Amino acid sequence: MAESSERGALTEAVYYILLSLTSPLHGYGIMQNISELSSGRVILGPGTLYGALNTLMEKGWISSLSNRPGGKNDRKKEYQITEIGREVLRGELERLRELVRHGEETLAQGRALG
Amino acid sequence: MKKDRKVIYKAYLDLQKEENWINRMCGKGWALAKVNLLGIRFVFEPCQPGEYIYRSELVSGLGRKKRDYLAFLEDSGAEIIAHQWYNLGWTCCRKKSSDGPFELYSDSAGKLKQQKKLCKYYLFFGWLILALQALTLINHCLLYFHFGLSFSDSFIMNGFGYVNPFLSLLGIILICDGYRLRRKIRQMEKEVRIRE
Repeated sequence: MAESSERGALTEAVYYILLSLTSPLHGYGIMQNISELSSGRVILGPGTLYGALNTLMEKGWISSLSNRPGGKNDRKKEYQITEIGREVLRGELERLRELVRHGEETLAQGRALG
Repeated sequence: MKKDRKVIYKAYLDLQKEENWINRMCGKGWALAKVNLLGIRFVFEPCQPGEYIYRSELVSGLGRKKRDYLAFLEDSGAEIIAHQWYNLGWTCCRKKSSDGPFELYSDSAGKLKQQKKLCKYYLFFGWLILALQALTLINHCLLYFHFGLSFSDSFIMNGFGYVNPFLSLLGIILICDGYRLRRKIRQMEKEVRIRE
């Protein structure tokens, strides 16, 4: 069951969160990074991000880094992608490529015919 | 001295309407600074018109998980104006509008979850109030007709409980709002199937 649901499409938010976490970031950093990556098109709400981070942690796609020594602020957690997460990301990229290829091929044909 | 503050008493059932009102006030140059008394006393302070964007939601749960989330909100640059655990966890926060658009939930699934939570509360409290009112009414009738107590005695025997038309009306309003919201949720669920 779990396997089949993991083959489905990732949400845009999850896709961008995983991309952002290829280097360690904390919550606010993720939001900023995604906004920059998408030139301000995708602006993640903190509620959405918080829920997604917790779910991704449970799935083991990302992990939280132990707090920096000397850092007394224990809530500014930093997160990083895991090997499983990278695997999922590669799979998604493959899926997206397929989508784009099909779209381009079909539309190009349409143009030739019409 | 007190001129630089504005206190408004207002009660909203619809969280979205309340949020819209708070944002309209901010547009007029009054920034919500404090909310107390079960969320009906709003204290405003002057601000630049439209200086902030306000967002509210229900943050339920207890202890660490909730604290974690509120801390996360603050870390993300939002300023928490009010969090009332005794008021269904109603939480209001704001961000400077110069920081760009601000939404707590940017995905439809998150927005849907919020609406569902609210709908659940409306229906629960609405039916609870109506059920209690109905029980009181039945009790009254029993004491009055069956046991032949006088009206005032039946009132005392009923633990001074009486059928309050205003409370009943509140129950009915809550239930109507709940089902209205449920229809909206069904509509949103259809939309989610097409677009994320």
